Amino acid sequence: MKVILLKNNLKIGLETISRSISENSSLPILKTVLVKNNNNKICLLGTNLELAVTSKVAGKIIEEGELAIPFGVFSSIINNLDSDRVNLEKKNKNLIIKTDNYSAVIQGMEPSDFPIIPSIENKNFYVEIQSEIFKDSLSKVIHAAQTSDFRPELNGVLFDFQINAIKLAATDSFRLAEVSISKQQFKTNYESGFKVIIPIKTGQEILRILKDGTSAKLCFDSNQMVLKTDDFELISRLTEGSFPDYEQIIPKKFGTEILLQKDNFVNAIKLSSAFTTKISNLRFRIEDGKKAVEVYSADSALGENTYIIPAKIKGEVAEVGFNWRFLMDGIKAMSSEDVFFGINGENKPAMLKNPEDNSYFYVIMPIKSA
Amino acid sequence: MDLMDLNRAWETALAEIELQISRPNFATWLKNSRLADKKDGTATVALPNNFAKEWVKTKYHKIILAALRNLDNETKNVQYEVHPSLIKEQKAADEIQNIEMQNIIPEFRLDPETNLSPRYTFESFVVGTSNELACAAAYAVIKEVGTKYNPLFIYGGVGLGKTHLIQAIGNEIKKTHKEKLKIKYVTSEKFTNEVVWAIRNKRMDDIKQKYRDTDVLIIDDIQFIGGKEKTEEEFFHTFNVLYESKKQIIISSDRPPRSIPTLEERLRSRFASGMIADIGFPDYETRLAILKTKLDEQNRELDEEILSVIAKKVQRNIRELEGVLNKILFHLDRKKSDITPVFVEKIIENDFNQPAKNVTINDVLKAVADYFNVPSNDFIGRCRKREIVEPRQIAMYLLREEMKLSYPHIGEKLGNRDHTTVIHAYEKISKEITKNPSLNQKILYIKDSMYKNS
Repeated sequence: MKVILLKNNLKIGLETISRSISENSSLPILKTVLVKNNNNKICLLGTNLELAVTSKVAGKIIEEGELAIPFGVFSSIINNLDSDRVNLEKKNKNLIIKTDNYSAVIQGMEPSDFPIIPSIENKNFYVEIQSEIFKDSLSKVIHAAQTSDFRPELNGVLFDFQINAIKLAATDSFRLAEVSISKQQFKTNYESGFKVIIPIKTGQEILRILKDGTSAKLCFDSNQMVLKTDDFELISRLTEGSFPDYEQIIPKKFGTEILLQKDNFVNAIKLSSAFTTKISNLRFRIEDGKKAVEVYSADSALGENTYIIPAKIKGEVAEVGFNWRFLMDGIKAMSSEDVFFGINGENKPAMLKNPEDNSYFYVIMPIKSA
Repeated sequence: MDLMDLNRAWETALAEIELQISRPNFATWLKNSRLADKKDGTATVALPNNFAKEWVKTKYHKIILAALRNLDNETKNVQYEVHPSLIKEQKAADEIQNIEMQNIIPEFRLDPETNLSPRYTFESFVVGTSNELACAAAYAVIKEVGTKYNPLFIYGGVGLGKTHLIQAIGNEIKKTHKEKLKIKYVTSEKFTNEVVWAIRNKRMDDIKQKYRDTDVLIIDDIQFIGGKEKTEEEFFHTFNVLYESKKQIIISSDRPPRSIPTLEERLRSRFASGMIADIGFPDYETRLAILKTKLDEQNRELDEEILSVIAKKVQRNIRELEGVLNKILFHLDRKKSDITPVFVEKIIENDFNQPAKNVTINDVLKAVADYFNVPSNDFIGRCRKREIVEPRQIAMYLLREEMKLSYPHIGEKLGNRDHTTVIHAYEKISKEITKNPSLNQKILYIKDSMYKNS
C-alpha cells in the first residue's frame, strides 16, 4: 500500500471514525484503524463491535494494500503534522508516514485480524433524507431517551416508518418526545412500514458525524441498519425489543391551556431553577383570572424565588411541579416564538408543542407535590 | 436435547476451544455465546451480534466443529445465528428511580413482554358473592391453561374489577408457569390501533405472527371491536388459530356476548362456547373488605365507623369507592381535621351530586343510541316498538337524573311528548334500577360513555 493524501482530508476521515474505536478494549486489534484502498478511494475503518464506521478519503493511490494501525498514535501524529501532504506506505507490517520534514514508522497489525464488518441483508430498500432534516429531527427527540440500559427498549430512538411519514420518538418513561418527518422530506422505495429502535449511542454518533449539505441513505433489516453518505458508511446493530405503544398516553384535552413566549419561558426556567433542590422541582401556579404564570422554586437551605411570565391562559387554576431539566429539553427543541403548554393536574401527563405546527410534541409527567 | 444438556455440552466444548485461541480473543468473540440447538447432526451456535457471528464463522469454525465432534460423533455441521438477547444487559440501578416524587408515564410501567401491570394480583383481589364464580373459573384456568374453560369470558359493569381479575390471571400464570408460557394482554382498543397501523403499512403478517404466537391471550373490553369489520375479522382468525391449538383465551366485556349488538354472529357464538362468568355489584361486606385492602396497600388506617359509612353510601362502583377513600385520606393529611361520619357523607354527596358539567342533551342521546345501536332520531319519532321504547325511557331518565332538566323540557326535546310521559318513564326506570341489576349496568355503562365522549 502506498498513498499520498492531503493531511486535512485524512484528519477529517480519522475524526469521523474516532468514536467507533474502543480505546479500552482488551483485544488490541479493536484499538486499530484498518486503512485500505480500493476503487480509487482510501478507506478508514473503525469498529467497537456495536457499530462500525468506514470513512472514505480522497487521495492518490500508487499501490494498493491494507494494514491495521493503532488508532491513538496514528491520529495524534496526523493531528500535529504541519505539512499539507502526507505519504503513507506499508512496509512489511509497518506503516511509514512521511512528509517534507518528518518521518515515522508505526508498528501495524495483520489486516486479516481486523473484525469482519457484517453486511446487511437488505440491499434494495432504502430511505433517503437530507442530512439537515434527519439530524434536526433526531436531535429533537434523542435527549428524551433513557440513558441507562435499565430497559433496553427505551435506550434508543424509535424509527417508525409509515409509508406516508417517518416518526421518531424517544422516552425514558418520565417524558416522551415525538417528531414527524413528512412525505415530502424523504425519498424511499420501501413498500411497507416498519418499526425499529436505533440505539442511543448510534443516534449520537450519527448526529456527530453526519455533515450538513449531504444526503443520507438508510437501509434496515431485522437486526442491523446502515447509513450511507458520500463520505462515510455507518453500520450498527438495532436494539432488540418493542418500543412501548404511546398513542394512548398523548393527552388530547387539557384542564389548563397556556400560551407563552418561548424566550420568556426559557428565561424563567433558567433563573428560577437556581433554587431547585436535587429533584429539580420547579412549580407552576396558574391562578384564577390572572394573565400570568407564576414560576416558583424553593430550597430550605438556600431560599426561594418567584418569576412571573405573562401568558394567555384558558381553563382551570392549577399548581403543578415539573423537573425543569426535562422541561428545558422539550422547549429547546422548538423553533417557534410561542410555546403551547397544556396541563392536566399533577398526576397526568402535560404537553409542550408548537401552537402552529404539529410535527413535534413533548409529553412530560409532573412531580408529585407531597 | 433440552436446555440444560445443551448448556452443559457447550460448556465442555468451550473449555476445549479456550485452549486453542488467545484469552482476549476468546473473551471478545465467545463471551455470551450459547448452543441454541443440536439435532440431525447440525449444531446451532447463537452469538450476541453480527460481528461475532461473522468472525466466529470465518475464523473459529474448524475449532468449534472439532470440539463439538469430540463430544458427539454425530455432529457433522455447525451453523451460526444472532440472538441479540444474549447481550448481558447491565441492569444498572435506575438513577432517577430514587427520585420517588417524579411521576412515571403510567402505561410504561407495564411489563413490556406481556403488557400486564404487576399491580393486579389475586392478593389484592377481594372475593365476595358477586364475583365468586368468575374467580373460581379464573383459578381453574390457571390450573389447566387452555384445556379447562376456553375461552373464559368475564363480563360485568364499569369499575367492578374485570381488568383486575383478568390481569391477575395473566400475572398468576406467568408466576406458576415460570415464564414458559407466552402471555399477551391487550385492550381491544389497542388491538384495533395495531390492525389499523398494519393495514396502512401493509404489515398484516406482523400482527398475525405476534398474536398467533402466544399461549395465553387476554383481551380487555372486547365490546369495542364490535362493528370494526377488519379488526373483527383479524380477531376472529386469531381466535380460531389459538383455539384450535388449545391456547388459552381470556376475554372481558361490559356485557354478555349476546348483548353486544354490533358483534358478528360467528364471534358471538365462539365467545359463548367456553365459560361465561359475570361480576356483579359487591355487597356491603365485600365493599368493606375492599376498603380495608386498599388501606393496607397504602399502610394507612381509618376508623371502622368511617369505613362503614363509605361502604354503605357508595354501592355501585369500586373505582368510586377508591376515589372517596383517597379523598378522605387526602383531607386527613391536609387539614388534620377530624373526619366524622357526617363529614364523610358530605364528601360523598358532593361527589355524586355535582351537576353534570359539559354534558349536552346530544351527548346523552348519542350515548344511549350508541349503546342500543339505534338511530337517535328514533327517540323523537312516534315509534312504539319495544326496541325503541326502552332506550327512549332510559334517555329520559338520564336527562332528568344527570342534567336536572325539567320534565316538560325533556318532553319537548324528545318529540314534543307530554311531561307526564316523561315522569312515568323516570319513575319506572328509577324503580326498576334497584330491582334489575342488568338495567343498572346498562345505565352505568351509558353514563360512563357519555362523560367520556363529552
